[in-house]
Amino acid sequence: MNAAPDSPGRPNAETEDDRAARRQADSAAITAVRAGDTARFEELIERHSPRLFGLTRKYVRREADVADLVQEVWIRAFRRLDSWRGDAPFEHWLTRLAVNVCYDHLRGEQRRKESPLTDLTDDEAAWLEHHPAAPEGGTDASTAARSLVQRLLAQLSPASRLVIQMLEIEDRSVKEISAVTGWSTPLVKVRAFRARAELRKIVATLDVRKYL
Amino acid sequence: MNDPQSAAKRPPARSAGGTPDLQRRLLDVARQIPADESVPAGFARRVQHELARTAQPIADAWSDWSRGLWQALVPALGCFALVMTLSGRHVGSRQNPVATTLDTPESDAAEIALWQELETTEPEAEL
Repeated sequence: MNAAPDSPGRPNAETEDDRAARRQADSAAITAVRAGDTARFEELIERHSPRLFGLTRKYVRREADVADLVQEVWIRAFRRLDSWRGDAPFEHWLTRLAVNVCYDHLRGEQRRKESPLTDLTDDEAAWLEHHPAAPEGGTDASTAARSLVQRLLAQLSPASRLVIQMLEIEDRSVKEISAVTGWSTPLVKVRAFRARAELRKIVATLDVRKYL
Repeated sequence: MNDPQSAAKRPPARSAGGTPDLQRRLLDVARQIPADESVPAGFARRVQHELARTAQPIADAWSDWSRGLWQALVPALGCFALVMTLSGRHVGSRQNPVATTLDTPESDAAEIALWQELETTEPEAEL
């Protein structure tokens, strides 16, 4: 598994030496935890929680849910620590766990989806009204626009949400998505096709609503 | 063409790009949302506490189960031994009852006598 869990937008200030040092520290802490020194697990939590919170917040909006889910990731990680073989960086293994936890959560929440896109706020409607006027590639990520995007993504099915987030927003490759989700490459391609169609359909309703 | 000022004056119209354009804009916005990696204070301690809380009952459950298993093993072995003893005695007392009654010299002699009697007896006239 060579999939890099980092998103492309992430500042890549970390050098190769830093990464190697962190992997070594992770490995030492995991060995200690496996040997019974469970206090060393806190070291791993401190080191990797920021990344897990960043990842989880991409899929879940409620802050209380985010903290609960990251906690769930750590509990699963602790219980399955023996399954980490050390041939891939710990953070990749952890990312896979986190994505699975988020996916399970999205599937659980599927029945009670967030409010549909019928009740736009004034700011959201205003952004939608003027979006063609925004300059090409401009940094138009206003609060209203962000809120609208998050509500739009929340309308997608769990699998589509995952695929759109990783493929379209984080620009990850199909192979990387396959590594992170555990889905086969053909399955990722099929789900990507469906996800794009689903997104197009939702955006179309939004686009039509603008002129009502 | 892409002058922001002239673009701002342009009224929104359906021909301005439509759904694909809106989708592209929305995805652009999504890409610009920075990852919020802030961690709530005391989160690591919270997880450690939760791990300790959930690990303890599991350990207790295992020890309870194993203790109960050992406690049940003694009477189970006792019952097993008792049943084996009783069944062994029963089997010993009833060991092949047919063989014990028929495979004796007396029974052999009686059987031979019966055959001899049958051979010497004249068949009865058919009715």
